[in-house]
Amino acid sequence: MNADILLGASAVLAFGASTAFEIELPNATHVSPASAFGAALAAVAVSTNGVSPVQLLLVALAIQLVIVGAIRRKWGTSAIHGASLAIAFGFVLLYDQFGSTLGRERRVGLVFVVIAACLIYFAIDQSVRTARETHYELRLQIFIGRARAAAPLAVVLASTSGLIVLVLPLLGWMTFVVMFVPVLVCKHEFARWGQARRTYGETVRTLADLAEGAGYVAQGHSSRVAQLCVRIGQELALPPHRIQELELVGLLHDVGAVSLSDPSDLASVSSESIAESTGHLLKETEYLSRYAEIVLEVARGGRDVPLEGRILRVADAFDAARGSTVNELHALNSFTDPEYTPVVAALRRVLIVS
Amino acid sequence: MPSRLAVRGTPPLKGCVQDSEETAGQPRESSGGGVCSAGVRRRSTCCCCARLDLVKDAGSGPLVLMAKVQERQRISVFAYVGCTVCIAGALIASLAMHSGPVQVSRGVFFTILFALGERLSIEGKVRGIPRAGSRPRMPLLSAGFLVLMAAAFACSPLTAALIGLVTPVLQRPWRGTLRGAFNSAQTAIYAGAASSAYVGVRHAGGGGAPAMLLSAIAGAAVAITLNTTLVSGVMALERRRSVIAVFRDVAWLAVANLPFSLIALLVAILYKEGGPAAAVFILAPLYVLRSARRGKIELDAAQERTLRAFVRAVELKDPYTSRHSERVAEIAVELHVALGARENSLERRYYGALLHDIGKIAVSGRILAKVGRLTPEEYEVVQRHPGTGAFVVGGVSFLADVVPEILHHHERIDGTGYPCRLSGDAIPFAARVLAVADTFEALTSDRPYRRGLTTGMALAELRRSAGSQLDPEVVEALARLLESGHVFPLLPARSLEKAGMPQLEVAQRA
Repeated sequence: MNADILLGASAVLAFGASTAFEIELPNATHVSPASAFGAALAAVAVSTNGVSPVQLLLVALAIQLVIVGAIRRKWGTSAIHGASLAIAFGFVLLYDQFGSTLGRERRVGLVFVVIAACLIYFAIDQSVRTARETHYELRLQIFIGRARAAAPLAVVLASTSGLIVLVLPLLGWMTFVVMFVPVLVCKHEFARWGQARRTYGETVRTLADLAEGAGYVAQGHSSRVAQLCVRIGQELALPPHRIQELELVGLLHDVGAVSLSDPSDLASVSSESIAESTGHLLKETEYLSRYAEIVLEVARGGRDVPLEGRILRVADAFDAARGSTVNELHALNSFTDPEYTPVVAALRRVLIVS
Repeated sequence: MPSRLAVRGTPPLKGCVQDSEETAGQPRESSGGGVCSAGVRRRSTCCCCARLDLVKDAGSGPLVLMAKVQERQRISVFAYVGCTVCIAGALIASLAMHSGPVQVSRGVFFTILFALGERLSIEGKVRGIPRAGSRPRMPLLSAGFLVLMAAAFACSPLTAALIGLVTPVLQRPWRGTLRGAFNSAQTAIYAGAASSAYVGVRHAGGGGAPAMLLSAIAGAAVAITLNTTLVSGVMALERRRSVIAVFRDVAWLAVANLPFSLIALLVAILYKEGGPAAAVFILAPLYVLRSARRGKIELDAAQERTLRAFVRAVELKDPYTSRHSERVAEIAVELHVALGARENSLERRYYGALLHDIGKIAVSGRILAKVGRLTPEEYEVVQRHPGTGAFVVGGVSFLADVVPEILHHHERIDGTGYPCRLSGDAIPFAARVLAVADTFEALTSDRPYRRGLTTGMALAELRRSAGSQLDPEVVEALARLLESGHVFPLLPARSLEKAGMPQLEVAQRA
C-alpha cells in the first residue's frame, strides 16, 4: 500500500517535472518530454492496486496545470497536456480492461500499449502546435515538416516510456529517477545544438555588419535582403532549415566585396566579380557551400537558378530599388519569367502584410 | 573611410615604428641557422600534428591514448605502458583465481554492443578544423563508456576485465602496438575495478534498489578515477607537463560521464531480466543524441571556417599578408600550450589570434600594401585597426573575452606602443603572446621589399627586441619550442640550404 503510494507520487512528480521544460529541435520546433512520462504514468495507474487511476490522473492534471499554466504562463500548452494525458490514460485503461486475459504476457503487451500512448500524446501535442501557426493553408506542409524533424525524438521518448514499464517491477519508484537522466541529457545536447546555431547566426550577422560598416556594402542592405528572403521563404513554405540557411546567405550575399582594396573601387568592378569572391567565401565555409554556385549564377543572370537563388535575386532587386515606389514596382514587374511568378507573388503578399 | 568603425582616442604617435612588421631590422647572420635546424630536419618525419589530439574526442568514449608518441619521450612512455600492462595482467590473474569461470556469452554480447555503440558515437574528425577548434568542450555522450559500465555491472569482474582488454582492439582506426597495448591494459584495469567495486558495494548494501543505484555510481566513479589518472599519467610523460596540470584538463571531461552510469545500470538490468533484445533498446536514444552532437560539431566547424574565410577575404587587400592570421593563430596557440594555458582556453586564444587584424578591413589596401614610409595621416589610420577589431569582435558574445588581446596586440613592453601606450604587465598576457606570434610570423614571411627570414634569424631578431617591444618570457618560450624541434606546419618551409644562403637584400622598411 505504502509502496504503491510512493510509486504513484514519484510517477506524478516525474510527469510534472517533464512538463517544466521542452527540448529544442533544429527546425524551430519544440518537443515536450511529457509524453513519455505521461504514458508511463498511465502504466503505473493500471499496475498499482493502492491508488485508483482517476485519482492519479486528477493529481497529474493539477500539477501540470500549476507548472505549465501558472508558473510557465502557457495556459494553451497546459490545456494540450491535459487533453493528451487524458487520452493516453484512456488508451491504457482500455487495454487494461480488455487485455487482462493475456496473463503472463500482459506486461509485454503493456509495453507496446504505453509506447502507442506516448506516440498519440506526441502527435496531439505537435498537431496543436502546428494549428497555432498563422499560415492556415500551409498547415499540412508545416505539420509534415515538424513531424519529420521530431520523429527521432519521438522514437526516443516512446522507447523511454516502454523502458519505464519494463524496469518498473525491478527498481520501483527509483525507475523515474533513473529514466530522467537520459531525458535531461537529451535536452542538454539539443540545447547546445540550438546555442551553436544562434552563435553562428550572430557571427554571420556581425560579419555582414562589418562589411557594411567598412563601406563595402550599402548600409542595412544585407539584413534587409536577409529579412525579405526569410519572409518570402516562409510564404512559400520552405522547410525551416532552408529558410535558416537562406537568411545566412542573404546576409553574406555581397560580402565578397571586402577583398577590394578600398570601398571606392566598388564603382569599377562588376557585380559578377564580387559574386565570385562571395562564392569563394561561401565555398570555404563548407556549411553554405551549396549556395556558392547559386550566388554566382544569380549575379550572372543565368536562367536556370534554383528556388533559393530566385528568392535571393528578387529580394536583392527589390531592396536595391528601395526608396521610390515607382522603382520598387518596376523591379517587381521586371521578373516576367514564369519561374519567378510564385516568388514575386510571395513578396507581394509579404509587402501587403507588413 | 567611414569613421563609424574607428575607435577614437588613439593619439597618433609620430616617428616611432609601430607595426610589428616593421621591426624586421637587420638580421644578424651569425646567430641564425642553427637554432631551429632540428626542427627543420625533422619536418618530414615527426608527427607534430598529433600532439594535441591526444585525448580522442572524449565525448564519444573513455579517454584513450591516440597520439603517436614522439621519439624523445619513448623510453619513459614505454616504461609507463609496461607498468600498466603488468598491473592489468596481475589484476586479471588475481580475478581469475578468486572468481568463477568466464561468462562467455555475456562477454561476446557486450563486446558486440560495444562495437555497435562505438559505430554510433565516433564523431570522426571534422575536416579542416584547426586543432584549437576541434577540442571537445562539453562531452556528454559516451556510448563506449556506457557499454563498458553496463558490462561491468552485468558480468563478473573477470569477464568485465576481459571485455575491457578486447574492446580497444575494436576501436578504429588501429593506431599501433604501443597505444593498443596501453589502451587495452588501462581499459581492462578500470572495467575490472569498476565491476569489483559494484559487486562489493552491492554486497555491503544488502541488495534493493537504492543499494543498486549507489553501487552503480560507486563503480562508475572508480572507473572514471582510474581511467583519468592512467591516461593523464601517460599524457604528462608524453607532453612533458606535470601530471596535475594534465589531470585538471581532462578530469572534468571524464566526470561528465558519471550520469551515464545510471543508464548503464539500466542496460545491465534489462540484460539480466529481458535478455539481449531488451538491452539493445538503449541504442535508439544514443542515435538521436549523436545526431544532435553531430549538428553542433558541424556548426562549430562552420563557425570557424566562416571566420577564417572572412579573414582570408580581408587579407586579399594586401596579397603579401595572405594567410598571415592563420599562421599567427597557429603559433599563438602553440605558445599558449607551451606557457601552460588551460586546454579549454585555447579555442578563444585561437580566435583572438585569427581575428587580430580584422580591423584592417577599415584600412585601405593602398596603405596596407604601400612600400615605403607611411605619412603621419596614414599611420593614424593604420593605428586604428586594433580598436576597430576589438569593437567588431566585442559584438559577438562568444568572443567577448578576446577583445583585450585584439585591442592591445600592438602595445610594447616599454610603453611606446598603440593604442593605449600600456607597458609591462599592464598589457594583457594574451596580447603579449599575440605580439610575439605576430612579429615572428611577419619576420618569417616574404614581403615585397625583402625575403622572409629563417626561423633562427627571426628568433634572434625577436630576442633583440625582447624587453623593449616584446615580452622576454614569451620570446624564450618560443625559443624553447623551436629548439625542441617543433615545426609550424603552416609556416613556409625553409630548407637548410636556404638557411645557409646569404639573406637577400633585407631592407628595412624606409
